[in-house]
Amino acid sequence: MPAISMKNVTKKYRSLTILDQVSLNIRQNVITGVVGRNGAGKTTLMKMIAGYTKETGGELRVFGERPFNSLSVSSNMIFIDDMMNFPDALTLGDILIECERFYANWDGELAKRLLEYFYLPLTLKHRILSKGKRSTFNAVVGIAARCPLTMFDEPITGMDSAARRDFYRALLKDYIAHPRTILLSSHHVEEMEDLLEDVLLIDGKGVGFHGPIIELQEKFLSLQGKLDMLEAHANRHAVIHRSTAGPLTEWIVDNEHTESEIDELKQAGIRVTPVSASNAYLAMTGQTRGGVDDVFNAMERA
Amino acid sequence: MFSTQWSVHELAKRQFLFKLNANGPAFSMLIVLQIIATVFLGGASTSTSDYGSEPFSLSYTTVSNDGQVGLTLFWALIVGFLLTSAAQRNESFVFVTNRLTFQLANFYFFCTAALLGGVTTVMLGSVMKIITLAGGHAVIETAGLFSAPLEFFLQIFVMASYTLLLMLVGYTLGTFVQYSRIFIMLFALMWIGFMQFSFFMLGTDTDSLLQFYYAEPSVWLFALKVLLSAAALFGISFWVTNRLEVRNP
Repeated sequence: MPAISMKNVTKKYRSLTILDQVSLNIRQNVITGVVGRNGAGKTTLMKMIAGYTKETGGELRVFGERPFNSLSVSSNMIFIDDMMNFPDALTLGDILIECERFYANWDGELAKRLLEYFYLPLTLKHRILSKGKRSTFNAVVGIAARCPLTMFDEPITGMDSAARRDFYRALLKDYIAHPRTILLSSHHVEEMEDLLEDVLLIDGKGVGFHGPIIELQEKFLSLQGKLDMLEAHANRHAVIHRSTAGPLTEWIVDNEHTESEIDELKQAGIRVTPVSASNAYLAMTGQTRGGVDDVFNAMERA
Repeated sequence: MFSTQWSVHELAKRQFLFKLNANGPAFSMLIVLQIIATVFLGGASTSTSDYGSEPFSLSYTTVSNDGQVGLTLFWALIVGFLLTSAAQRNESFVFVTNRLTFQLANFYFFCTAALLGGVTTVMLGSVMKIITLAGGHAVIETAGLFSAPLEFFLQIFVMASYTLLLMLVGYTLGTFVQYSRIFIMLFALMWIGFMQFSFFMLGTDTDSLLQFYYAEPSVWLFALKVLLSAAALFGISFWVTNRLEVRNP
């Protein structure tokens, strides 16, 4: 049984459709990376799974139950992001005590040790923390709560690179010791590549890709060579992304080539290399370098 | 399928304890307001009358804690309204809850706060007596804990009931406003209409609404009226709360 299942789930804010007819299953006890461009609907998807908001249409089940107003889903789930509100009256230490009250698997000792490691004194108030420190504190709460469904929505906002590395490492270590279903959204796929088992790409109000990260790593090939050579030889499969750097042009194409086709490309002087998951993600979501140039070029012409 | 299962009652209790910790400032606000009322408004609700002329004259002073009562009721309305804020909802939903346990925890919180408001306000009546005695006056008639214990507890009960009702009124209004900002305008119009209407009726209508509680001679009927009103307000506000989305942009 999947941890989360969706059948034709739609979410609208008034007339604006954020997610349209999404169907997917999230496997249990797997770390899934939720990726997509700004405003693609990652947060909307996770808030719906958390039971904060109500799906507009379709069937959404978390551990077999509809999350909106479900106490069982709420007791087995934690949603961490940088907008988490904690009462102004409570210090970090007080907040940890409250966590213990609500989360059955809460590991207070781990939380305290992690906060000590990250230089977060328990006497501080949450609202005076800097953006990075606040994200770190929230992330520690997310790890120590050990909820069967743990969701991090852009947990690394504002963290410096050392804190980000430590967070990923702590999450992985605790996940191995205490397996659970984890959803992790971030724009930095390259940092999460070693951590993720599955990737869920939200694009165009729906699922752009969902599967093991290895599949994403093998999905595309990068072809580099002179433009005329590429046009002559690499025209059998769809080109996802084109870019030019100096005399060389790079095309990212579907990896459906047979070995003889690849040999042919190599003989034509084209460099054939695999594409990392993060570059595959960037290519699929059109985050190509120089795209925004077109806007300024168009304005200059006008 | 679920590794953790809580009952509604257990979680409402835990959310209530969380709310007590998180909303400590609401209680300090009450204390500050009551000190203000005692220090600054004590004189306002005290009236002195003189009768007769030399050589025989009678001077008597009516001392009341109306100032404290007024400010406590005002505090109740504000606290009720504040607990509907988006921040309050977000804070609760960071931890385990659904909309029912959230509402129940708020209700428990109101009951506690109303009891505290009732007890402190009535106690301040005694403080006023001490202040009066300190001024060299003799207290003629009063209902105190020892002279009329039943009446003393009745005062606390009535004061707590009013406080609870006003908190629930503030909470219900706030809940509607959270649901849609249009209700701010609607409530303002209703208020103006209500004032106009009672103006033309020479104030009889406003009286009758207050008289419904205020002029009830039977304690049991009063308790029943309060209970039914509280249940109605709880039901109406929950009907809205149960639809509210959390952290909805």
